[in-house]
Amino acid sequence: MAAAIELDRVSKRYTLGEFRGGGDAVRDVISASVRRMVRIERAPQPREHWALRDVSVTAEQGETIGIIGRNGAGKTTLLKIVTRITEPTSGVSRTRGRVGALLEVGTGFHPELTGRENVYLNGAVLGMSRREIERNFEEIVEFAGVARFLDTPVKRYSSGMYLRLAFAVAAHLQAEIMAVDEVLAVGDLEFQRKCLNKMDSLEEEGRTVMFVTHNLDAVARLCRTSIWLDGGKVAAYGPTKEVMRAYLTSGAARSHERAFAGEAGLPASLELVRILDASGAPATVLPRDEPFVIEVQFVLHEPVPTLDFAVFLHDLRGLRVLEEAWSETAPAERGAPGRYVARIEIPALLAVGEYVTGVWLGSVYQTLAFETDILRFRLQGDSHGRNDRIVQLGLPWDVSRANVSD
Amino acid sequence: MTSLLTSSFLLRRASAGAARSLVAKGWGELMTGIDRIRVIGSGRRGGSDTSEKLTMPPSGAVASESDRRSRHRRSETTGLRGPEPDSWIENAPTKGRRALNLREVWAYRELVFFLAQRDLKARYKQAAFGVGWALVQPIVGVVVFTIVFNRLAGVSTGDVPYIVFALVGFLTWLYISSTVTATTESLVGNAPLITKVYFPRLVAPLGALVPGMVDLAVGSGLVVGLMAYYGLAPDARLLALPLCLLGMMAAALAVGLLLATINVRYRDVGKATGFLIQLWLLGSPVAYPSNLVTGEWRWVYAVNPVVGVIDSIRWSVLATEAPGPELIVSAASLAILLFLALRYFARTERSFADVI
Repeated sequence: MAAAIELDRVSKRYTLGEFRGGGDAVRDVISASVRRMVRIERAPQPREHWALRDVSVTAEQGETIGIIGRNGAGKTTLLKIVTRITEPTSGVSRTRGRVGALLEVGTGFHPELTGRENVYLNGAVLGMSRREIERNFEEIVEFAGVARFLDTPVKRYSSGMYLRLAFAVAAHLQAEIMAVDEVLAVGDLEFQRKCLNKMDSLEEEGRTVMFVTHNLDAVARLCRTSIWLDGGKVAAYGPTKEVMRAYLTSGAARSHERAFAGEAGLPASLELVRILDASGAPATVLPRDEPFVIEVQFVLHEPVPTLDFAVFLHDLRGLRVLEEAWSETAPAERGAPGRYVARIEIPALLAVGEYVTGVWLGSVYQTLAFETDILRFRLQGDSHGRNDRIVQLGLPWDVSRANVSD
Repeated sequence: MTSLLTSSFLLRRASAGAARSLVAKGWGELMTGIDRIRVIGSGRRGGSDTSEKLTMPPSGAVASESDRRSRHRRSETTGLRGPEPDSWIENAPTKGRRALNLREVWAYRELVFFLAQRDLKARYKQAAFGVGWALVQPIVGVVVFTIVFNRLAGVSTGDVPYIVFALVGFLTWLYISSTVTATTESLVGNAPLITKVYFPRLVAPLGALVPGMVDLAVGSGLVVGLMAYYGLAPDARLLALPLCLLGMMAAALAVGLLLATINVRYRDVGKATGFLIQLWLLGSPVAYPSNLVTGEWRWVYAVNPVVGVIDSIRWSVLATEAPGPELIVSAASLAILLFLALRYFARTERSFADVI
C-alpha cells in the first residue's frame, strides 16, 4: 500500500496575546509600540501555545485513522494542517490526491439560498466540480430526504433537515482523502446510523480517512489505527485497541473516585464514592457486559436509627435509569456509629453509554448527604447501533418458521 | 488600454525611472513564479520557496496495484479538481517570498463563479424591486450630478451631453466603489469558509469582482438608451471597451485586494473604506472631465488609476478626447498597486485561517 498522508514532525504554534481578543485594532498596536518605545512597558513575552508538537503520522491509502484526545489536544489543528487550511509552524505535511475537509457540516451554506442552490454552493466549496455535483444531485437529495423542499430557502428548514442536506453533500464528496471532524454528532438517530454506514463504505471505496471524534464507539468501529493526542503530542499511535486502552486507562477522561470533606455538625458524613469493575479495580470505563460495583464509604459519628442510603444513576439525557436504596432490603436494627463501606453490584443490564452516579445518605427523618453528579463513567461495548435504549439485556429469541412448505 | 497585459508590456519596455524598472522586475518575478508552478505541475521536482509544491512520491515508492486502481477510479470521476493523483501536495511553512499558485486558482474557477452567484442571489432575495435597484442608483446619482456640476457649477463636457458623459463615468465609478467595498470584505466575510475548508484564498476576492459587472450590465442599458436619444453612435473605438473594462476590474481588484488582506488582521480597514471611497470619488473624473485638471498637477492626478480607467472608457464609448500620456502614469500606478497587493497577499495568504 502506498502512503496517502504523511506528516513529518509537524508542529503548530499559535501566538496568543497582542493580536487576540479585541486587541485587533491598529490603535492598540500603535499605542503598545509607543509605550514600548518610551520604555513604559517592556515588550510583552508573546504568549505561545503549541497546538501540535512534532507529530509524525503516515496513513496508507484506504486506511481510516481515528484521532482521539481531550478538548484542546490538537485534534482539529491536525486536520487543518492535513487539509492545508492552515500551514504548520515547522515540519511538513504531504498528501496525495484530492483532500476533502469536513470540519463542520454545511460550510458555506447560505440561509437565503434554496436547498438546490446550497447543494451546488456547498459542493463547490468542498471542492466538487459542477459536473460532479450534477451527477450526484439525485443521490444527495435522496440521501437527505428533502426532495419536497429543494426550492425552499434553507433558512426555513428545520435544523434536522438542514443538517441532513449538509451531510448528504459532504458524504458525496469523492476525494481520495477525507478529514472528518465530529460530524457524526449531528442529526437524529436514524440519520446518524446512515452516516456511520456511509463512513464504513468510505474505507471500502479505498478512501483514506482521518477521523476526529469524542465518540469512542465510532472510533472502535471504524478505525483500525488510531492516534491519541495529548497536549499537542502523540501520546499513542497504533492499532485502535491498544491506543484506546492506553487512553482510557490514562485517567485522562474521567476520575474513578471522589472523596468528600464531610460537613461538621451532622451525625454522618460521606467520605468516598468509587466505581469498581468486576475484578474489584477502580475504573471509569467498564465493559457493558460485566457487572460492576458502586462503593460508598461513610462515617456515622453518632447512632442514626432508620439509617438509609441510596445510589442512583443518570444517563446523560438526565434520565434516572436506576436507583437502589438500602432500606428496601436492610435489617431493622441498624445505624450504629462507625465507619461503613457499602457496596452494591449492578448487573450487566444497562445499555452502552455514559452515566453519572449520585448518592443520598440519611434516615427516614432527614437528609444527611445528597450528592448528584459524583462520578461519570462509561459502559463500553457493542450497542448494535441502538443507542436509544436504557437497558440492554440481549434476551434470547424463540424463532421458528411457521408454514414450512414441503 | 489599462489592462494588465498592456501595462506590464509598457513597463517592460520602460527604460527610464528606477521605480518603473523595479516594478517590471517584480512582474517578471511573479510571472516566473507562475511558470515554475507550471513546470512543477508537469511532474518535475520544483523550486524550494513555494509552499505548496507538487513533487514526486518519495524515493522507493513504486506505483502499486492500488495506485493504478486509484488512477482508474479517478479517470471515471471526471471533472475533478486538484492535482494529479500521483503527485504529493506539500503543506510547509511559508518562508519569505512566495509565488501565487495561479494554476490552482484556475482549477478553482468554478468556485469564483459560485461565490459570485451566491452574493448576487442573496442580494436580490426578498427584494421586490430586484435588479431594478441597479438602475435607481445611477439615475439618481446622475440627476444630482447634472444639477450640481452642470447647471450650478457650469462644468462643460464639449460635444457630449453632460448627462451621458456623467452616466458613463458614474457607472464605472459605481462598479469600482461597490467592488472595492465588496472585495475588502471578501476575506473577512468568508471567514467561515477560510477557517473550515481549503481553497486558494484568491478565489474570494476574485468572486467579489463579478456581482458589480451585473449591475454595470444593467446600467449600460441606460447608456444605450440615452445615446440613442441624443443620436450618438459608437464607432470602432468600442472594440477597445473589453480592454478598458479589464483595466477597471484590475483597478478594483488592486485596491480591494490590498485592503482585504490588511482587513484580515486589522478590522479598522473596513471602517475606513467608506470614507476613503468618498474622497476617492472627488479625486476621479466622474462628475467632471479630467481635462479640468491642468498643468503639472495632471501628472499627480493621473496617479489615481481610476483617471485612466474612466478616460479610456469614455474615449471608447463616447468618442471623447483620447487620453494623453497621463494614461501611462495611470497604468503604471495600477500595475504597481496590483503587484504590491498580490505580493502582500501571497505572503500572508497561508496564515489567514489563523488570524481571521
